This record gives sequence, C-alpha cells and structure tokens, in this order.
Amino acid sequence: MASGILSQMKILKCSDANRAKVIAESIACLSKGGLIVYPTETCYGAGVDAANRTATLKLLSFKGQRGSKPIALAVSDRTMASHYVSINATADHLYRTFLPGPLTVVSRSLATLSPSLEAGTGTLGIRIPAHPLALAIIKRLGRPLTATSANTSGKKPPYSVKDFEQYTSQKRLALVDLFLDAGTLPPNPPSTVVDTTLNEPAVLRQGEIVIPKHKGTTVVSGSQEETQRLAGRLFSTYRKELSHKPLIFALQGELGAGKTQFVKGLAKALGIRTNIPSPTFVLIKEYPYSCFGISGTLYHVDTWRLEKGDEVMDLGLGAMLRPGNVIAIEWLQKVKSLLRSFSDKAVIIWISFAHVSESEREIRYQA
Amino acid sequence: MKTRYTILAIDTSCDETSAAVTLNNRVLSNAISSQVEFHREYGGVVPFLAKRMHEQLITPAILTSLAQSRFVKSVGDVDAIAVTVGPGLAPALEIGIAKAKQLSLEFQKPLIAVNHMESHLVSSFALNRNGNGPFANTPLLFPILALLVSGGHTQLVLMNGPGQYILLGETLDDAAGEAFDKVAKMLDLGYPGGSIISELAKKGQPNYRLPVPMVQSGSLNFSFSGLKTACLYFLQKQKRPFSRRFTIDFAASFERVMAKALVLKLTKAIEQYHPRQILLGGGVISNLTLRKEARKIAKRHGLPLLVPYSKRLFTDNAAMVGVCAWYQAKRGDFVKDIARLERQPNLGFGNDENL
Repeated sequence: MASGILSQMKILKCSDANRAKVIAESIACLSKGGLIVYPTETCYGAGVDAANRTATLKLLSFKGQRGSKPIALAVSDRTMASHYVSINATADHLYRTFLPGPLTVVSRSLATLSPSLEAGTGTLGIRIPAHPLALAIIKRLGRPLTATSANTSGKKPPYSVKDFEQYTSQKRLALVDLFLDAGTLPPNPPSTVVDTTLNEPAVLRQGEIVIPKHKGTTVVSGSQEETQRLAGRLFSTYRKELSHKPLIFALQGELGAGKTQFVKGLAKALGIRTNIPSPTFVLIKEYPYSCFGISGTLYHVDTWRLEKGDEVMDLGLGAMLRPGNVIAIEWLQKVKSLLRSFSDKAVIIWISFAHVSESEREIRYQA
Repeated sequence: MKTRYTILAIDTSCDETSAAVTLNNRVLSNAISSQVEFHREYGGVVPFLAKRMHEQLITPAILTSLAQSRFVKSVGDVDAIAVTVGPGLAPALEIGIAKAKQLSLEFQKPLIAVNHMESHLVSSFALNRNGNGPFANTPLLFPILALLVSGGHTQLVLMNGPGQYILLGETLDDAAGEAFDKVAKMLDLGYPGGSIISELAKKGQPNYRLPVPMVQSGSLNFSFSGLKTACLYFLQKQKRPFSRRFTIDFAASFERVMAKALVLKLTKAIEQYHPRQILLGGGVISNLTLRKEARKIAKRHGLPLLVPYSKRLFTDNAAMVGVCAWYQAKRGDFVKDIARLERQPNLGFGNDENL
C-alpha cells in the first residue's frame, strides 16, 4: 500500500458521539469542491456537491470510463428533488411509497445541473438514502450529493474501507479527500433503479425493492408494419367478443410512439380500406365496417386536445358502446378512470407504447 | 335564379361555431365564435367545451351574422340556408345541421349541403362587400390546382370545372397544422402553438437539419408523422429549458422543412396536371414562408397564385360555406329531402374511399 498517496485521503471514524464534527468536516470539504466517500443503506457512495461543475468533473474522473451512463443524486427530501427533476404521478407514488430507501427514481431533468449527470435522454436519477448521516450532510449542504457507488466503473461496490482500498487504484484514491468510515456496511444490494418517464414504471436495475409489475405481455415492434400486424393479431384474439360487447383498445404512449399505426392495423383487420389519418384535430373519426358477419363502426378517438377526459362523454362515447363497435382511444391517461367504469359494458384491452430506439417500440398489452 | 342571391351559411365542423351572410360570392358578414369581437358581444371567454359543442353559440352566431350583414334583417330575408355536412367531428356537425334544417323548414327556404373542404377550396373565390378579392377581375381558368392545409387536413385537389373535383393527394397520417401544433408542444410553446412557431420562425435562422418528409416519389400524398418523431428525438437530446435562440432557430428550421415538403408535392402536381391557376386554402396558409415558397414555384411555372382576401377566410368560417353554396345553387345543387339530410363526417372529394 503506497501510504504516501493515501495520506491525502482523510479517514474519519464516524460514531454518534462525533456526528457534529463529521458533518462539519464533510460540509467544509464538499464546499471546497472535495470528493467524499459516505455510507448509505446500500454500499459506500462517492459524493461531491452536484451543483459544483468542477467537483462533478472530479467525480467523473474518479469513476473512470463509463460511456454516457448517468450519475444519480442523493437528496434529503422530495422538495429538494423537485428543484432538479419534474416529478410526475408515477414518480410521486414511488417517492411516497419507498423513499427514503434503496430506490433510485429516474425522472425528466429540469437541466439545472451539469448535463454529464444526466442520461442522454435528459433524465436524472434521484434517491433519498435511508441513512441518517448521509441525510444530515445533504440537508446541511442544502444541495444534492452525487449518489454513485464509490467504486471505479466495472469494479466491486465497496462496503468497507478495506474493500475500497483494495479495489481502487492509487491514482483514483488520490482524488478522494475524505472517507466517512461507518465500519463494514450490511451487504445490501445497490438500489433498484426505476424509470418513471415511460408510460409504466420500468425497472432499469433490480435491487432489494421490487416494484409490483403490471400483468401483461410485452413485445418489441421493429417497424410500423409490425405494429399494424400486432394490432391485427390482437383484434382476432378478441373478435368473438364483438357479438355481445364492444371492444375498446385503450392506447397509451408518447407522441410518435405508434398509436395511430396500431389503429391502421385494426382498420385493416376490419377490412376497412380507406386511409386512417390522425384524428387529433377532429377528435373522433368513424369508419363503418362489415366483415366476419358483423357490422359496426370503428371509432378512432384522440383525446390529446381535450382539456378534461370526461369531455369524451359529451362527444358521444356512451352511444358508441354497442356490440360490434371497436373503439380505439389515444392518450389514455386522461380517460383511464372513466374507461375503468365501463369494464362491465365493454372488453377493454390496455396497450402502452414506449420508444426503444428510433425505429423500435416496446408494446405492452393486457386485457 | 335571382341575380342577387343571399345565403345564410352555418359551419360547425369542429371547434368554431360560425355563421355568415353572403350575397352571390360576396361576403357581407362572417361571425366566428373564437374571434374577439364575438366574445365582447356575448360576454367573456367561451368555455372550451361549450365552444366545441356549439349549442350555446349557434343562435348568437346567426344573430350576429344577420346584424353585421347590414343587408338582411332576419332569416326570412335570405334566399337560402347553407350548412356544412362534413368532413368534421360528427357531434359538432349535427348541431349545425339540426339548426339549418329547423330554419329551412320554419322559413320555407331551400337548403344547400356543403362540403367543408370544397368551401376551403372556393374561399379564394370570395369577394368582400365592395366586390374586391383575388378573382374580382380574373375569370376562373380550369383546371385549377388547390393546396389545402389546415389543422385537420392536408390535400391537393384539382378542380376541372364547377363542382368537378379530383383529390390528387392527402396526408396519410398527421395534418400539416397538427404537426405544427405538436412540435410547438414539444418546444413547450403550449397548445395550439402552430401560429407561435410561425411567428418565432420569422426571427430565426433555419440552422438545424431535419429530414424533409416524403412519401414515395410517385405519389402526391403527404406524411408528417416521421418528421414529428424526428423532432421529438432531436429535442430530447437538447438541454432544457430551451434557450430563446434555440427555440427561434428550431422553429425556423421546422417551418422551412414543412414548407419544403408541401411545395415539393405542389410542384409535382403542377408538372403532372398543368393547371392554369393555383389556390391556397386553410389555416396553415397564414404561414408566410409557405406562401412565399408556393409563390416562387407558381412564378417559375408562369402561373398565378391566389389566396383568400382576408385571414378570416383561412381558418374555419361560414363565409366560405356561403360562397361555395352560391356556386352550388347556380348549378341547382339543393337538398332534396331535408328530413333525411345527415352528417357526413368522412365526406371527401368524390373519388376517395371515405365516402
């Protein structure tokens, strides 16, 4: 062990008795742009003041080559988080259910911090560590700490000073200013990472916390044609229901995720030969059809322009709920609860679309 | 037919409640529910839903159009009633049609059923009260090629004579106006932000490269969903909040690509069908870059390009319906069985399969 270099890193034994001193020293170090290693309820974390761009660069050189992987933030509470990310309903639910705790919630970044902390898609991971010392330091700092495991990329996350010294190169050790030694931490796995910017929460890394998953089937569509074929297959699965109930395809997904492509596929399956353009402007388009010995209307409803979801009732949704009719509704979020109330009057197939890449879409469906 | 023929026209095809009085192809009044003076008269801002459902606004709109005409005093004074029967939002169309039927029966007036897109096409034929307009001193020279661009439609139509239309191409997915509004939303400009993009673009430099949306070269159809997705990906990679400079330049880049895509197909249609006049119609033609590019192409082919005399004739309005109805009345195109007249939300130009 080359103690000459190591001597730059101060190791501070932490106990309840010296809590105030540990916090004061940590704040002094962080305020000068220093890099500290601090205990959490999972492993030791490498922390710098996330709002200090020079310190952020220092942290990135400590972590080493890691592509464009983002760096999560540790905050003291939801209010602090709300200054850096936009917390949607899904995220809000996770904050209230699981935090503080070993869960990193990925939300859309408000881009107030260095972009090198964000994922390429403009998102930022946030966690609230369930560790009193870490929380106290963040609270006192008044700003987030970076929350990345205190290991060089590709190496084992450390649970003790010994782990840390063993797995970290001398060059990298020299970048660390302060080690808050809380002894050997319990061997808890790293936090679960959940992306909440998609339609349903997507687990990016599984840790101790298990997010209850919706039932359903997931497929990846590689093209618009594939999305259309999937619509056709799904329709034929439920076709026989049409004789006594209407079918509702409830479509959820961002702009350009393939919702209209899906409806084009439904129209094809119903033998409707006309073009199916977007109904955004007129809100509803209707296409009478007659095939498989059934006649009815395909209603293509788009709620994007509606202020309130229940406006679809004024647009005649109730009258559409007749056996033989197929109703495809885009922008489901607005009408989700309304649709649920129809579950005895109609067969509802819930479908969500998410961008995987420029040409691929993940489609999840469930009846 | 009378040489001075007055029509009370009604349009409730989608968001706007509108009523107008026309005298032949002259517009005497054109009351549109979203317009400022209408609000002033009928008290405050109209709730979104009410505006959309038209019920509360239809009678005020008709009364306003009669008063502003300064020519007819009551429905009893007009020669005919005209109403849009499609394309549009079915429950909205129903309200206008029901009102028109009721007036037609009550005042014993002939009823004329109008295609909303046909009326966008003929909006360039409209003259103002004093007889001024693009066709004031110009005869119609067929075939006429029209590019109709609005929130709900993007169409290239060939007019071979009165009432003779061929749909040459249309959008396969999103309408041009819708693409403007959706990209505006992505730029955090709110809804409907299409006109804000046009406004910002005036000051911007089209520095960002976006793919020009094209449907296979032979076709005259349009497609804008690919461009919408390309914008989404491009904007996801940008730092938020967007700087003003970025927003302005991106707006200019987007607008340029949209104009390019529209004019590309317009050019193709000119080369294939050799029209003698070019018309523009629909709300999106208030975009100056689009008008400039279209004018350039028309000039290159030695053709006149005509647009309606007023912006109030670009977006949805009843005056164009009245003008269209006058041309229909001249060829005897009246509703024969008023009781059986129904909305036709998918009404097309005759040769498409939506009918």
